[in-house]
Amino acid sequence: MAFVTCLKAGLLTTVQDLGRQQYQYYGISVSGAMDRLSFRIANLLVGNPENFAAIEVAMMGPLLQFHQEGVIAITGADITPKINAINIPMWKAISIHDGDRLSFGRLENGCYAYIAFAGGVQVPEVMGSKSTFIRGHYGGQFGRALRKGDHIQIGDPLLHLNKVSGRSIPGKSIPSYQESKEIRFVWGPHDHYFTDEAKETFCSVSYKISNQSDRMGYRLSGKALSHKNNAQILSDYIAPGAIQVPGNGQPIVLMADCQMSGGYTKIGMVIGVDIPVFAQKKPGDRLRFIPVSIEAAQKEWISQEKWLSILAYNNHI
Amino acid sequence: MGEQIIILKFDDVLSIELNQKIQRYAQAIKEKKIKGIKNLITAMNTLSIVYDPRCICEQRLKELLLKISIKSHERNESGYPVIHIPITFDEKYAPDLLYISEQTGLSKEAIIKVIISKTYYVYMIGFIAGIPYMGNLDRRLIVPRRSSPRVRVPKGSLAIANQMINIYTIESPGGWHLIGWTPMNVFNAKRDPPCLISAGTYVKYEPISVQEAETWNETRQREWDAEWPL
Repeated sequence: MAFVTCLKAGLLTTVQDLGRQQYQYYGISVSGAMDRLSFRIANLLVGNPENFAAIEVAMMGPLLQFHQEGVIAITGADITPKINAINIPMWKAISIHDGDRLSFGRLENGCYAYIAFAGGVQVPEVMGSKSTFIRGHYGGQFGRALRKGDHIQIGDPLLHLNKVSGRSIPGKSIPSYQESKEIRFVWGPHDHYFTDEAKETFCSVSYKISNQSDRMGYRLSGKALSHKNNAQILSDYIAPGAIQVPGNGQPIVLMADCQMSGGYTKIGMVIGVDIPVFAQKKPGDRLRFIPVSIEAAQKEWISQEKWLSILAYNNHI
Repeated sequence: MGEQIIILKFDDVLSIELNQKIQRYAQAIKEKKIKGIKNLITAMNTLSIVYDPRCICEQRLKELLLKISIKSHERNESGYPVIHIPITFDEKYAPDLLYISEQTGLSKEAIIKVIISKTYYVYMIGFIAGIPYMGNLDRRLIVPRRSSPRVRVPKGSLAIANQMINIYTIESPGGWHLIGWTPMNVFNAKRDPPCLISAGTYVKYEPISVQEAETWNETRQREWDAEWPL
């Protein structure tokens, strides 16, 4: 068991995994990584199962010091990661040594970065997950974001460090966030609550991510969407990716820490493979919504999962 | 909703009978053990099914779901467990009782009497940390939500809005009217399941004094549990 010391906390640095999927019935937020694809890749690169806990960094990175040899991988947003002040590549498993310091610089693109450690971050599980849920004060490092002075425990690596060090994913497979300004979605379940004009507007104008956006949801601003009659429904299930439109007509896309029920109409749902792309947008970024069919969305999802399972296969040999 | 969730919507009404039907339907689906179903979540008048499109396509899943018949009523109301929850209605913990009194024309005492005279059905568990949505509130007590939500509502607050009554399970912002408080821990993240109250069960409120509420401890909780066994 090794550990890492947090010398500077960064903006919002939290322990996350893939969340509390099985507790939604109990009204428990799923939580977990905002960009699940980058998160899973980071784990697989260092030889972990994809659900091991890792550190999520938002826009401004922390300063961490290692106290033992190990392997890390950094994926997601490019916040110019450095080891001992020298830039290091992302999307690659990198060896670190006792005393090394990991710091971050300028935010080049994206919003959330992931630091996975071979062996994973060790914190107690709460409702089947190590994810931090700050509003409930549970999960992660004492139910809160990392602070200066924290010691983060790292588990024993499952694979020999020599075997994983240096691994990377091919450049063409690295998700690119800044280029994709189009987010695909599937209509419904409440698209029939909207006027035809509103539906047309939704797919033709661009929306800006507002400053009031966080791990619960991204508020968008743009041309208001009008409802035929009202914006309220009986409280219903909601999930990350759902596009809720309250009475003011400005959409809110629900994210990882979202509540599990809501009384507002949902015009559509961002497709599974585009939720990570959307999560990497930051306040001020603009995007457009493109409708696709359920079949098309499933095809994309299945091909992504197939690719990830090949990546995971390398950890079994 | 999206390519991995099917939402079955039932009648557009808030009805205990309909919600019980949805609970039974969810149970029937669970028993079928359909490959690819990852999660079943019931709400007021909907049932959401989270599935893995690698195992089953939307069309096939819909076909299988339509074939499932719901068993008729097996248990009547008396067969469902009733959870008894101690509540203090002291002013200190019920800042909105006066407002409800003004809006409804009922005295504070009358409001409390109406609240505790009924057993409430739990329609769903939702929001962020296992908040039970219970109903239906007596018609005389129906008041819309506050126009400006409070930034901080204390954990354990008993609150009402429209036809519903709920308990804030963690401190959070909230727009419901606060009419009481319970010292009992109805939600505990370290427990499995984390919620004491689950969808489809019944809840009854038992008045206690403010002194009793403030000195509530594990011993008193054990006595309470023995007094009101499930």
